[in-house]
Amino acid sequence: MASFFFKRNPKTPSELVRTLNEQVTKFDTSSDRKKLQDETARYLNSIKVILNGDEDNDPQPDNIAQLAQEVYQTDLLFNLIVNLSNLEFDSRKDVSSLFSTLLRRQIGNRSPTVDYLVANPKVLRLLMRGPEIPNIALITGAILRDCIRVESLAAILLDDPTFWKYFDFSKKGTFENITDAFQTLSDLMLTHKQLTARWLRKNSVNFVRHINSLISSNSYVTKRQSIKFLSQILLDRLFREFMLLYVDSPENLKLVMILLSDKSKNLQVDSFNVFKIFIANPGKSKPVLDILAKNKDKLLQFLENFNPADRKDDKVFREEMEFVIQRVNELPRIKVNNGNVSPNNNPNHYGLQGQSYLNNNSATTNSSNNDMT
Amino acid sequence: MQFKSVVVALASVAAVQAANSSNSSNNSNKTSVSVGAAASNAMGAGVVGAAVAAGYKSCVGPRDSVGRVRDASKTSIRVIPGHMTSTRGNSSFKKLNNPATNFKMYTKTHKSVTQIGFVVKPDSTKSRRLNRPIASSIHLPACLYLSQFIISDTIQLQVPHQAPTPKYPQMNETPSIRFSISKDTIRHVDNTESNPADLYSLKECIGKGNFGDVYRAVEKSTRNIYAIKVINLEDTDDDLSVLFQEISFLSQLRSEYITNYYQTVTTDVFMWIVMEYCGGGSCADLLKCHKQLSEDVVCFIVRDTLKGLEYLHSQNKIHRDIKAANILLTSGGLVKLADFGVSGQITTFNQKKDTFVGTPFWMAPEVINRRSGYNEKVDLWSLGITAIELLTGSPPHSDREPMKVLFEIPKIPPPLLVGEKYSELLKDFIKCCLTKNPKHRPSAEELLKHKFIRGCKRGISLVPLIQVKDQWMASHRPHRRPKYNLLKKLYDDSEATLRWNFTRKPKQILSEIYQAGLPGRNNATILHVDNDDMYQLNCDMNNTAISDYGLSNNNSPESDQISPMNENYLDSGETCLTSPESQPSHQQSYTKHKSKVQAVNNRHSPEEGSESPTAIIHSEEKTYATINYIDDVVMHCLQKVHLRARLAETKAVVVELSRAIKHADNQQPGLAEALSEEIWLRMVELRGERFQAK
Repeated sequence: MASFFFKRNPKTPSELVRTLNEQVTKFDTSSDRKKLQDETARYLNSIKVILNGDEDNDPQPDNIAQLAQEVYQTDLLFNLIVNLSNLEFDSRKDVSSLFSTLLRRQIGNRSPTVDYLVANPKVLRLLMRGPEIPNIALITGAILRDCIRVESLAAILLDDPTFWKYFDFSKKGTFENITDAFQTLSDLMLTHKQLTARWLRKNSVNFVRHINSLISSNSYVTKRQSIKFLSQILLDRLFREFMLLYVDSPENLKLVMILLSDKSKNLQVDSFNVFKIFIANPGKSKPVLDILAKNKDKLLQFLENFNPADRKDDKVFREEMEFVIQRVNELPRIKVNNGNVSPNNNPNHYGLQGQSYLNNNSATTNSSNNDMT
Repeated sequence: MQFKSVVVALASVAAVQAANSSNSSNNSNKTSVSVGAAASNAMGAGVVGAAVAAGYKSCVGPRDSVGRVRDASKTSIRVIPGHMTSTRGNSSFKKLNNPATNFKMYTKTHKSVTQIGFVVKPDSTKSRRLNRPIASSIHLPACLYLSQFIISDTIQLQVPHQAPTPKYPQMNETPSIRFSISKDTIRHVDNTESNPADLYSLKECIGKGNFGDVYRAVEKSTRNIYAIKVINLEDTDDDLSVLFQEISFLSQLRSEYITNYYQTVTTDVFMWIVMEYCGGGSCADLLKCHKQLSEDVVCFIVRDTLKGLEYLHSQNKIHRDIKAANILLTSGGLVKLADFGVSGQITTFNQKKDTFVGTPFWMAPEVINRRSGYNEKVDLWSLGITAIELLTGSPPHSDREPMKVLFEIPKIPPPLLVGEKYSELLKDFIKCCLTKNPKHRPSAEELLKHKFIRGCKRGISLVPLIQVKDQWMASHRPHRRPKYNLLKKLYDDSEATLRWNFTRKPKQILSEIYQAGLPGRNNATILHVDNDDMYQLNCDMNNTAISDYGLSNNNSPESDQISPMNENYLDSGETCLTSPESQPSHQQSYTKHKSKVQAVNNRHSPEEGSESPTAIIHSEEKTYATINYIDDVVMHCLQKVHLRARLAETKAVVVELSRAIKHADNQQPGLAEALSEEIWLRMVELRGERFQAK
């Protein structure tokens, strides 16, 4: 019962929140850091008991309501996040659980915490910057992923300029922080797909640039996570518009082909899932077609030998493979005797268009293409 | 951040040590200590302890009475903000002052633990806030007490000079602030920058599993010992994020009753999970040697295992695999729960395809039934079984077929501990653990209050048992062979299985794409080439080209500073390198290149002599595989020019030019190619007859 709780700590839930808030904001000025840490730890613990109950007590809805109200009024969530790195290791986790408990709390259809966070986007913005401080990144990451489940919050997060930094956070830092940032990134884009589809309409160019940068990284882990993530996006019907844009670019194709030829079987399988979209696309752009045609023989050779051990019984995979091989077979053949493709296929590329010989040559290439088809 | 270094050469530390060692003999194990305590002084809290990259810099490590190298990793240093913490027990407390610096030292000995504390006052600080002392303490666990050891090195403290704590929004905080021995041991090392083999040297294999092997390893910078699980990620074809989430979770667990996580580093397709090392082996090892353990010892082990479980369960973590083999011991005799989380996760990872791996003797009935799911109570059943294992040497039913037992466990009544030699409390404790209905089975917290656990005798030490075991193991333990070959890397020579027909090398393409995604780049060249920009560049290029032609027509390319090119430079077999630094290798590569050029001419001149220069270029391209224009042509030529340059200044200019061109080519890949072609075309145009006559 609550009375048991009050015996230990003669404070009402709102008093408790206020005191905690006072303590937390003192980190800036106070001299006795250890004492403050102990105090905040104690108060956070009491709050946890109010929210979740303990062995002898079940949580009381009235107390929780009181507590939540005070949390919003004092901006406690914001202050806790600001001082997260000042808190003790275990207190940080208490903050995370306070956050997620409040987020889940609903009154009818309304979620007061969501309303608060929407009205005060500074909290979310601060959370987004968590990875800048390595030792709290995992805590803010966990809180963010809790928030991402709520669409209105995900919308704010997705539009935050800091979002772009997550591509960078996914490259640099400790292993845990790198993978955690990537998890946040991928959750943010894959949880509310309608939202992401709208967002991609505005940000496709930038997104491709950033995700390609991850895929071209040196790290095996980054490559594997990012190509898998990209294939998830491209293969989703909701992102069709984006997919068409993506498969139009020869640069994207080259990157995927490079990964397709990687020694890692896992990377091969994952990039095959992207490569097949380029092949299946009925309206291939000229540069994309050129690259495919030029590599026709190598592709056929590669695809026919491409048989990952664990996919032998995978019917879908086999069918897709047959389809891809067939389509590659239908490609026009451009004779290339060596690994060097003449620059003239893309006269724009070097900014030298207009030189007579280049024009001549691209004309011949075109005509030879037509002959083939 | 400006650091003020306080270097205190402390003979006093050694003195204190000697005084504290009760049986200090003339053992001359030299163990040096280097403490790099970067204490960051925080405005906000007045005093912030600091990142302690502490460790005993010693190849030897403290030795125990048998003379074996003991587990040095347990020796660490903690920085405690503000004041000394540990005050329990009747401890002797000494205070040492070093007037030379604002450095005070305390030592405290309590039982077998020595704690050295020091307080550093940052001097020259006007701010009242900053005048607060930064205190630290060194925590020396029991195993060091056994050894006589001399600290002969210096202790170095780095105190940031008046560095105010940046508030969160500025995000400039020193990356790690750590406070206590077991709670803040995680490293913040940039994963992308480090190759694990540079950080750790792997020693013998100490365990193996389906997921990968476990090695004892020494961190090179600190000489600390860790246990490293090496996992081949290429073998796990599932979504890696599940595994990575597990590691993140693991990194957020800290307790003295579990083997703590230190860091993860990756190389090639391998992931190295660095964990706390337990030099005392597992309880299963103990059983191999001692066959059975006494009730008192079992009580001690079970109690500390319960504390570990209490912690894990408080973090919503189920261990799922409690057994003697997963209860580890430090060389100092501390009990630590191991093999939760990642390894468990990975075992389930790889075992999906297999029907069943492992022995079911420890499994709770509800795990086998799986009808209504299960919760953390399964660990307590397993603990009960483990207690029987420790007392009798093996879990119940272990003499029977594991798969049969698996189906029987839910049906038959729970095992009971019988026998005159066991106390009633112990029997009752085990009966509590082995309650079939998980709802009625007590939690770890409740079991810690059981009379059997509360009656745990003081002063029980596992150290003698471990030492006997170690001696026994030395002669009995078979050498553990790793299951996986560490040396076999996936990316040993090349990254790719084949080479596509691309204009540029994959590496160039990758690096360009990678660069484009770095922060600060906002050009969108990857998906769309901005045509206006291209047009602009086009015009610029044309203009430059024109003016360059003008220049080259008026001025001879031969300047005073550069030795003239022999008229027969391209034609004769001789090179005309006037510079004394000319090297045979250059000559050779040049000759090779030249002969290639000649070959082109020889082949094409007769039949294509009348064609436009363009034709030559393209036929050449078709015949000759990838020319790396920037390296093989432009840079090569510039190198030649560099060799021909007589003066240092000239050389410098050439170097500068090379850099500029390299840079330009990076910015606009293909530039070198275009440039080479243009030079070639122009040369053919100007001296075409001579070329083709040859």
